[in-house]
Amino acid sequence: MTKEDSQKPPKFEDALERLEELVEELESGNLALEETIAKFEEGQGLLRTCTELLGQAEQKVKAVLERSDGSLAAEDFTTEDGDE
Amino acid sequence: MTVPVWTVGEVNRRVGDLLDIEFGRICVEGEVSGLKIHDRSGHAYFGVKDPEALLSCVCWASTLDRFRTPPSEGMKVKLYGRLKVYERRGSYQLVVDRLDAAGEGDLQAAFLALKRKLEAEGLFSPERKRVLPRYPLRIGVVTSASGAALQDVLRVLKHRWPVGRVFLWPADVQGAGAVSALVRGIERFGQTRLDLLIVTRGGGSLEDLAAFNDEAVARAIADSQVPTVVGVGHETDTTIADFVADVRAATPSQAAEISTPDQEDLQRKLSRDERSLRRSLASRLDRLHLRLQRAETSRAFSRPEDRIRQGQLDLDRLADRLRRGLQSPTERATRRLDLLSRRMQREAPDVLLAKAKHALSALGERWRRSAEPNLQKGRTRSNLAGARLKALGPKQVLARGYSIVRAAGGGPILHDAALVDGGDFLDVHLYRGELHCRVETRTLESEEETSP
Repeated sequence: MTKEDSQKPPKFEDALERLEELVEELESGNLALEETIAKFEEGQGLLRTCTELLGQAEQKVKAVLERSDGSLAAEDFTTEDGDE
Repeated sequence: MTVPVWTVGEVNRRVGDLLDIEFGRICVEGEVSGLKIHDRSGHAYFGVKDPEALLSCVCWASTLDRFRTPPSEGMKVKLYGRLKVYERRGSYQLVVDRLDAAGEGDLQAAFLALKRKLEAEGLFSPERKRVLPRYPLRIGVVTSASGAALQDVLRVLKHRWPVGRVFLWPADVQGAGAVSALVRGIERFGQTRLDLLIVTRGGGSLEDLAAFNDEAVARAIADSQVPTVVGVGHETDTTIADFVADVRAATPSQAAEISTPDQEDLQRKLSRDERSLRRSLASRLDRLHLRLQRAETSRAFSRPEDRIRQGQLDLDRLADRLRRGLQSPTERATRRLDLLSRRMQREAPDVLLAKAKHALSALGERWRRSAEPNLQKGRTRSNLAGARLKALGPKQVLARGYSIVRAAGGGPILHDAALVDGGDFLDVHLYRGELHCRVETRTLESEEETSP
């Protein structure tokens, strides 16, 4: 749709799922020490990613309009009531 | 024959009973005429008339409040209610319990007909409903840019899930252009890779909500590739669009709420995950420690006896097999039998057994002799694991003076000197920095130590 569409958003859901998987695998405890450490580090990385994403806590609203050629354009949309 | 004498009250009461029995609840169609709303009580008194006649009506204030559309002079209506006699005057009137503006009833009928049709097509079936994504990062909203519904949705999203970016498709939600605007928005957004679509508007009369009861809008929602939440008006308004939606919300705010996780819950979940990760690494080291302890006790003392016992069992089985071989009936078996009996003269089961027993006791002796260095090794390794256990991550272990040795160039972590040759290059990871070393000599562990 818009140019936002081409830049893929970080797959937050995938990251969380992977994280849950890692926690489970580590808790089952059938891993060699290297694997344990590798998975621990991967988990820490995912945690960072997820936390960072949650940190970008500013709401963004775009209004989408259809151009005459049928393509879509997004413009910043500001709410009338500004601050609550 | 005497005619019975009635009191006036009795007559009126009797008429009232008969009217009620005869008519029950009825519906009358006509025009509101002579409407008066009583100042104090708020009850409405009026007549309903058609070209031929007029019928008195009353509508109690409590009922009046529930009407979507209040009566007005000259309004064409369908009235529902029961006939009651006003005993003191002997007059009767319709006590109205429901009032539909003319045309509203038609809308209602059209609504029900469309509902039945789409239901029969399976558009409302639970199997069609898609599960909403747990963490929608791109949320499409189709609603009026100036409506209160949008403000409600944005307020909830801002508080609950500011991470989600909102794409608004401004669309009229009532009036002539509403259906085509809604359909266009739902269609275009429905083909994108948005995570979620919210179609919403505030409450209103059946006429205001007409676009949300339109077949084209319903079909656009059904065809949407993106999971769709519909939230229309206040709790009491249910539209066709609500039935088609993957998830139905009672209000615009609720639509936003159903669609999103609470970021604070999520933050808490992430901290829980982090604690689990740390805990499981620690317990992994804990288990290593336990295994070493077990090796320390079992390997040194119980294992040689086990091995001897196992050896005896194996020999018993072998002897059994030999005896069974003797009983084989076929010719080939007879030949084998000859062979076996010759071997048996050399290696009769008891001879074999005696030999093996001797060998095993010698082995047991060797095990016992090897136990002491083994024990020593076990202690050292278990102390090492104990120290690791006290720290949480590999970094902390390194800080305590341990190091990780890998084959040069990011090879695997080394456990066994046998995997390295003299002259090989190794990387040694210290707490700070790395050493790049070359193997001068190596000392291998004896075979007993590494055998299972």
